[in-house]
Amino acid sequence: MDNIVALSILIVGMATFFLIGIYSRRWTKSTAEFYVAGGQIPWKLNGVAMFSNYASGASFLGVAGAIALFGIDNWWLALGFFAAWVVVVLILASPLRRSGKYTVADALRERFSGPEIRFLTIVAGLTIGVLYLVPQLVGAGHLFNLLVPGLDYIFWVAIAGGMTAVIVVMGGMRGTSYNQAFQGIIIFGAMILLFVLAMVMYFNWNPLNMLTEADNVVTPTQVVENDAAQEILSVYPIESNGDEAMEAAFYSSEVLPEEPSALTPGVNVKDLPNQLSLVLGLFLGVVGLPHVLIRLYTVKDAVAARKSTELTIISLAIFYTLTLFVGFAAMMLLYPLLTDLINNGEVGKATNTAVAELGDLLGGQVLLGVVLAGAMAAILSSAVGLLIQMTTTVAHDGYTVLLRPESSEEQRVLVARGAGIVLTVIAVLLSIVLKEENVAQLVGMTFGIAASTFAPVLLMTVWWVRATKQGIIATFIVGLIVSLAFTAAKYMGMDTLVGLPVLVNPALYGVTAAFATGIIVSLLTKDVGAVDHFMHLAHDRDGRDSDAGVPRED
Amino acid sequence: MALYSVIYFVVAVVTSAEFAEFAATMIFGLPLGFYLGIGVIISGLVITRIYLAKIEN
Repeated sequence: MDNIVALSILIVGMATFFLIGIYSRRWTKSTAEFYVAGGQIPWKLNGVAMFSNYASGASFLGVAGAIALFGIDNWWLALGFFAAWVVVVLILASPLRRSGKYTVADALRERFSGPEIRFLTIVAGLTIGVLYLVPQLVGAGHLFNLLVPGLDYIFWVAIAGGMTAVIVVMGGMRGTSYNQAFQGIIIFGAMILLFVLAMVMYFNWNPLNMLTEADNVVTPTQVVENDAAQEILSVYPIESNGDEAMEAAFYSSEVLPEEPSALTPGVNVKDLPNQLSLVLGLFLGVVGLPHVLIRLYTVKDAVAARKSTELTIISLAIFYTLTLFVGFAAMMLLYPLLTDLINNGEVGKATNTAVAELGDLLGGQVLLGVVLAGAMAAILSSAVGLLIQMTTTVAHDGYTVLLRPESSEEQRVLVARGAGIVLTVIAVLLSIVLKEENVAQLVGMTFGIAASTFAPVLLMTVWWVRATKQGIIATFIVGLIVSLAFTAAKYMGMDTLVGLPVLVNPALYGVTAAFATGIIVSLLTKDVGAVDHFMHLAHDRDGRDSDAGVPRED
Repeated sequence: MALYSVIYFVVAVVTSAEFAEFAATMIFGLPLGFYLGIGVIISGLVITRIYLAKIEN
């Protein structure tokens, strides 16, 4: 079998994920342990786990791969992902950590009574969770099917789904946290290795050379669009080594001297409304992703939550900066291969495999194995984060609070484990059915819905004393409907909906409609909930800077 | 947060198709868009650090 060394490294990595999940089983006897690891995860470990939770396969492979094909414009995705974390730290991390117990719904319940808002958080939370989990599994199926020929799509979807379920069902939040921290180290290490090796081997130890050299290169996509691929490939075939590939990259600007270089901004960006909708979706999307926010409850207090998020931000800043350098390195060192793939209409394959091919070129089978393990780690890390969030939503918000408040600890943990298995089976089946669907559209839909529902609801609840229960409910409903409608319109290829142009992301309409509705309805109604109690709790109006520590009891 | 929002969305507007020529202005061998992107990352780190230091004090 080809790639036996690389496959062995991948299998060792996956076996370690599995064993960590099994080992952590001893700590999942109580609900507090299962949901949030008893609030006892050290902040450094939590920070690395949050980085890993966030840096999904799309970040690890997709951003650098997109830069390799399309140039500097696709770095904007990385900038949006990064900026979103700053928003989380500045406006939500501390108040949410102080006011909640296990989930986002807990925080909302501290201010507004009644089951309506909790029910809506369950609906939106599960919708977002499933919509985000399915593309992780679809991506895993396609990616490993391409990288490891011979084992088909369904096999890899089942492997990724099975591993996700084992880690969550066996290990609960503690096993998930240890796994995500380990996976974060692999993801970060793989990106650093690619950057350093490329810089040392091909760019004279100077990282800026990776950028300035790109100013002499036309992107492979532009070469294909200008029908110049054959001219370049006839001189530099796809078997070219790294040095020859770089010559091919420079040759592209001789063949197409009038075309802008890969370093020129604005070649692949949309018009202003589309750009604003995309960046707004990225900016607020993370604020509304419950699987990210749930990690704020796994540390002992608000101070530890802030330290965790700061460590995550520093890691993300380095990681997303490196994606630019690694993306350009991949473009230049794999130029004939990428050009050939795009010329054959295999843009998706070129994007998803560029980083792995770069690993193979720079470090042979060993680095290819590390990149494969990193890709699997990135996919699994996001998948387990999503699954444990959904499991906690079903078991805690649904079963314990709404249906069976008198249930025992054992029953609650049992429901959580059962929910984990059922949700995994649903996600695997959906991933098989949606095999041919566009992964990016599913992810975009998730960010658009999150930015249009949880984000305005949380921001208004946490920061606006005049927000009312009716306003929050209206925000949830309108944000969900508008974001789903415009996503569906885009999915169906419609140009306009109710007279408005359909944009690349529904956030511009969804966020605007949700906030406008929430503000108007709140101003027309009076039920502001336990606003004094909540604001005191969330913003620590006495001046204290920590909370009680471990999750509070009901 | 307001300051960071302004930085983020101004960079987003400047790097949109309508202002692409301005973003492509070369400064020390690299386009303005690159510096703006790095600016989003560095300003995010600095503002976060200032915010956390203020809270801890």
